[in-house]
Amino acid sequence: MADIKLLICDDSILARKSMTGMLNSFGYEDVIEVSNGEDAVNKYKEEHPDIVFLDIVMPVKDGITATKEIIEFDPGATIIVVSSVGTQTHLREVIKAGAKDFIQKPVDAQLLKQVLEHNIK
Amino acid sequence: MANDELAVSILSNSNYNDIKPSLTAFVQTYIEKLIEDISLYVDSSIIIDSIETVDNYRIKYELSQDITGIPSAYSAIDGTPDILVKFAEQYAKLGIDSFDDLCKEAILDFLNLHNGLFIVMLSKLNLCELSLNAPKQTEDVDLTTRVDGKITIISVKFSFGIVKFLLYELPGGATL
Repeated sequence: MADIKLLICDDSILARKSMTGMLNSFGYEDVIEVSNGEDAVNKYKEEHPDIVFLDIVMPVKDGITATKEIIEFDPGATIIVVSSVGTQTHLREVIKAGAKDFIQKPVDAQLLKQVLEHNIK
Repeated sequence: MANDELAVSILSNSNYNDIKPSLTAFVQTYIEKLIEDISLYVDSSIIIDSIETVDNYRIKYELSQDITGIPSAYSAIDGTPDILVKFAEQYAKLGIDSFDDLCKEAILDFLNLHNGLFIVMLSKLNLCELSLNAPKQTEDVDLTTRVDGKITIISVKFSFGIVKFLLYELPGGATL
């Protein structure tokens, strides 16, 4: 897993710590954390992570806008939205923006692992 | 006992059934989901101290989140710092022992999780499609209701003290 780079974007430090802990336990050590959509877009351009985990509700720039901007920069980007707001409207917006998958919070470790493995190229 | 059954049991041992007719369906659903989420993610051994509606409320440390759409609402969590620290630790289990940024983030994380699950439930029931603003924290806020609204205060008794959950359903798509 050493060559897989992951980016987590969530304004909640708890959510970031929890997901990083899970990803580390699966063997993924190269995990970058940012706290808003704007930083996620900038970090994506700098680091070119293999997979991005994005929350939806965030200050500065929300996850749907960030997804659109990352996809505009790199149409092949793999973005997985991780959020507590999995309403029908949000799910439609997330898919339309170009995200590959959606995980409803609270994050279940086994589901996270399955989704991650499914989306690793 | 299933979590929704536990929530019903907790609510039935409070003044909820007395006050319920005066609450909107939106507020009733919010309260029922709140108790379910507290039981599931924080502590299942809770008691409802009281549920009341007021026109004004002053929050010393505002930890809140707006629910947007139609209807829209203001939600918040209030309590004394020492009790909020214990609430945050019970939820996050990160060794939180002071009312600092991590403590406030943990409380807002719970509020965001609950509000998110609440609007997902409404969406799944095809009742309405709502969204959330990012949680916020400020100090010394006076909440004053408009003509057609009331602030609902759900006081929940934990082993370490009482935490107050606030909900103010706003007219139309308004926000505070």
